[in-house]
Amino acid sequence: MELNYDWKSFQRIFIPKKRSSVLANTSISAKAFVVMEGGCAISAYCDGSDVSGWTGKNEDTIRTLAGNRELTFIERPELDSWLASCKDLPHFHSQRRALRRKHGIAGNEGWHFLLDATNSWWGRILPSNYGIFIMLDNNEDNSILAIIRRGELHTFHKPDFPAQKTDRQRHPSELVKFLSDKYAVPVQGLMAKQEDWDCWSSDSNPWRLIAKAVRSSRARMVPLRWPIAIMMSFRAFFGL
Amino acid sequence: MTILARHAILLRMVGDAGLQPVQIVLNYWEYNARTVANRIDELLRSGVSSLCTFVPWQAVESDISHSLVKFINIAAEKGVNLTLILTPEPGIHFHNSGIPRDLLARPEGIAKQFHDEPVSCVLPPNIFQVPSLFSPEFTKRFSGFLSRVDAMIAEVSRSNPAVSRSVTAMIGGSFWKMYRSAAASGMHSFGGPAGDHSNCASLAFRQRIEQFFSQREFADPSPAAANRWKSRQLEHASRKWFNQHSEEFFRTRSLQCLRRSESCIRTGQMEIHTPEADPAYAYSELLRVISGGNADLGRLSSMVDHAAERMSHAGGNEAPSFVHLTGLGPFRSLADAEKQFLVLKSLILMGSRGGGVLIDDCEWLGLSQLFRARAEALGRTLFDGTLKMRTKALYVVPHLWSAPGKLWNELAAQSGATARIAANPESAALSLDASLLVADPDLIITQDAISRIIEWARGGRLAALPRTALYTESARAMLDQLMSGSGGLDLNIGTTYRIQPADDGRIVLFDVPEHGQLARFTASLLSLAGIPAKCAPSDARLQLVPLDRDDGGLGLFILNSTGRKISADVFFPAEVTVCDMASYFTSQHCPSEDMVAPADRFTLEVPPCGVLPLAVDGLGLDVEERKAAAVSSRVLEQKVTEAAENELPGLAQSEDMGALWN
Repeated sequence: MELNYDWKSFQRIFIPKKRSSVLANTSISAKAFVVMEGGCAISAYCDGSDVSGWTGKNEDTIRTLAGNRELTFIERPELDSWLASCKDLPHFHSQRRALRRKHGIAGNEGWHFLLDATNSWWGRILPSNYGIFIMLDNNEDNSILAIIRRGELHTFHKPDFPAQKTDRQRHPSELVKFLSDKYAVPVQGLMAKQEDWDCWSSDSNPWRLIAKAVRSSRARMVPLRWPIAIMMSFRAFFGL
Repeated sequence: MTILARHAILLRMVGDAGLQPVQIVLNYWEYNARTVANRIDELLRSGVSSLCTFVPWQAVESDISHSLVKFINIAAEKGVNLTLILTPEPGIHFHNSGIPRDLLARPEGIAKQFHDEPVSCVLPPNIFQVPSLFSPEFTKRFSGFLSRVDAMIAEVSRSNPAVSRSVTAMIGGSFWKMYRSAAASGMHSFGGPAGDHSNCASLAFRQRIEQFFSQREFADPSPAAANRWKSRQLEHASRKWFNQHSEEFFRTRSLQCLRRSESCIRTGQMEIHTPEADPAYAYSELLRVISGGNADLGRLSSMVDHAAERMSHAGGNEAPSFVHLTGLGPFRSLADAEKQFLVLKSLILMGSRGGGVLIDDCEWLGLSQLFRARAEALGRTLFDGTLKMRTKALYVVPHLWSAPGKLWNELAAQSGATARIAANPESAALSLDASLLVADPDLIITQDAISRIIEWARGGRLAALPRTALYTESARAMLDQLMSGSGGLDLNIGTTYRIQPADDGRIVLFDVPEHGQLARFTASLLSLAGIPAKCAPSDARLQLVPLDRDDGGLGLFILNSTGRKISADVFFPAEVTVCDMASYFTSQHCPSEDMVAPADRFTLEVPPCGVLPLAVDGLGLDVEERKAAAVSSRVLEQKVTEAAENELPGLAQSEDMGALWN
C-alpha cells in the first residue's frame, strides 16, 4: 500500500541516522530547554545529559544546577500554543519546521540539503508541482518520491512499481517516466550510491560533491535537465 | 507440585493468549504484496518466529487490494505465528494512527484532559489530537470496523485452515491511557488525574453515575443517601471509577465484536505502552524536535518502569503489558547500546510478568546478531517460567492511569519492582502470589469488593484498608463486624491502625497517614506481610530487578541507565553466593570457577547502559514457604470440613469447627 506520508522512507533518505553522542562524549555541555509552569520546571531536555532532576525546581535553582550550560526557558502555555498551531499541517516534516520557526530558528538550518534547496529561490524557477525521485544503489526498495507543491513538500513515499515480467534491470529513465505519467507531474530523478548520499548528507557543501559525482558519472540525473544542473552549480559554487 | 506453582500455571492459562515476549512488528501496509513475502523470509532467516502487525482502521477501510488477507495467507503459509493488533494505538506508522480523518475533524470528537485541553500524540508521521473514545460517532464506526475485520478473518480462516492455528487477534488498551496532561505527567509519568473530560465524556459520566449510584447498595439506609455519592465532594473518586469502568466496558465490547462470527482464531487482550507517543514524553519530544538532538534515554527508561508497575485487567483476565518501541522517532536516534538497554529492560520488566516488547522490524534487524540471540534466549527463559517476577504487594486504585495516593510511592520505593498497581479488587483474586494488598483512599468500597478482599486475605495474606467515607453502608457493616472480633490489636506509630486476624490472614484498618509518617507506616505493613527487602544497591542510580528462578534461587538483573560506568556495592540480607547468570543457565548450577565466596555484600562495576545478570543462591525462602503452608492448610481444612459434612449427618459449618478440629 502506498502511503502519502511514508515517514520511514523519508527518515532513511533525508534524516541519516546519526549515532547518539550520549555514550561517545558526555563532557560536551549542550543547550538545555526547560518548560516552566507557575515558576516551576515541569519538563527539561538536554541532548546527551540526564536533566530529569530539574523538574519541580524553580528558575534560580536550575541556573545553579546548569552551571555554564546555555538555558532556554519556555512557558507551558506558549509550548501548548505551538503544538496546537501545527496540528492542521499535513505531516511531521512541516510540523517540525513550524515548531522550529516558532522557536525562532529561521530558515532551514540543520535541514537536509535537498529539502533546503527546494524551499529556497528554486521555487520561483521550478514548476509549481514537480517530483523528485531518489534511488540509491540502483535498488527500487531504497528509493523515495517526494512531490513538491509550491515549494513545499507535499507528499513523500516509496513508489510502488509494477512487477517485472523479466529479470532485466529496469532503466532509471523508465522508472522516472512511469512516475511522471502516474502522478502527472514532471519528475527529476537522481541515482546515486548509498555511501555517496550519506557523505553528501553530512557535508557542509554537498552540491559541489554532487556536481563532481555527476560529472564523473558516479551519480546520474535522469533526465539530465540543463537548467537544473545550472541551478545546482550556482548552489555549489556561489552558495546561492 | 507446590500450590504456588499450580497458581502460576493457572494464571498463564487464563491470563494471556500466550504471546512470546519478543514480538517483531511487521506492518503489512508498509510493503507491497511483492516484497512482503521476501521480508518475512528475511526475518525467518534471522531467527524470528512470531510477528505482529497493527491493523489501522483507515487502512482496512481503503484496502481495495485486500492486502491484509494476502498478508495473513502469506504468513500462514510460511508458518509464522502472527498477531493482529486491532484497536487504534498511538505510535503506528500511519497518518493519525489510522483513525479516519473525518472523525478528527470535528472538535466535539476530540478528547480533553482535565485542564480542558486536547491531548496530542507527538510522533511521526504526524502530530494529531487524540480522539474521544466516548464520541458516539467514533464508537459506532469502530464497531463497524471490528465487525468487518472479524468477518474478513473468519472468511480467511475458513478458506485456509492454517490461519486459525497461527493467527491471534488482540485488543489493546487504545487511547485510554493517553488522556493525561503533558504538564502533570512531565513531572511524573502517571501524575495528575487521567480521563477524558470532553463534552461527550462528561455526558456519559453523568448518565453512568446516575445508573450506578441508583443501585440499592448506595441507597442504604435511605434513598437520599445515594445523593451523597453523586455530590461534588466525591466527584474525584466517582470520576476515577467511571474512567476505569468505561475502559473495561470498551475493551470487553471490542472483544465481543471480534467473536461474533465464531471464527476459530484465538483472541485476547494486551496492554501496549508506547513511551515515545506518551503524553509524559510529549514535551521532551517537542524540545528534541526543536533542538534537533537525540532522545532522552533516562526519561524513556523511567517511563518503562512506571508502565511495568501497572497491572491492566479486562474481562476478568490480566492483559499482558508490552512496551512498543517504534522506528519513527526518539528510539531511532539512540545509540545501539542505549537501544539494547531499553529492549532488555522492557523485556525483563514486562516479559517476567507475561508481557514483553514489540519492536519495529527494521530496528530489530539493525541490532547486532549477538544481541538478538541474547534477547531471544532471555525471552524464551521468561516465557517458559524459568524466571518470573512475583508480585508481592498490590496497591488497588480506582483508576489505573490516574496518579495513585502517596502511600503507593512509598510502597514502590520500599518494595521495588515486586509491588504493582491494580485497578480492581477482583485483580487480587488473580494475584495469589501477593502477600499484601493496600487499598487506595480514593477507592469506592462496595460489599462485593470488601468480601473479595477479606476472602483473599484469609489465605495467609494481609489486606490494608483505609478509614475513609467511601464505603457503602453494607461494606462498612461487614468490615465493622470483622474488626470488632476478638484478637484485634490497636497500634499507633504516628499513624493509628488496627490489626484484626481473619483466619490465616490479617486485615489492617488504618487512618490515612500524614506525609511524614508514610515511610514508617509502609515499613510496618511490609513487615507484617512478611515481605523482606531482598537486596539493595549502594548507588541509587542502579536499579535491581529480582526475578524468582524456578529452582528457588534468585535471578538478579542490575541495570544502569546512565551513560557512565557505575561502581557500587549490592547488599543482601544474608550470606549468598553469586555467579554470572549465563554460566548458571549453561550448566544448571553456578560453576565453582565462576562462583564468588559467600558474602552479604558484593562490589560490582556496571558499564554504561549495562544490564548485569546474576544468579543468586542462599537467600531464605521461609516467608514463601510459610505462606504456601498456610494456603495448603486452609485448602485442606476446607476439604476436611466438606468431607465431614457429607459423611456426618447433622454436622453444620456454623458449629465451632475450630474446637472440633483441634
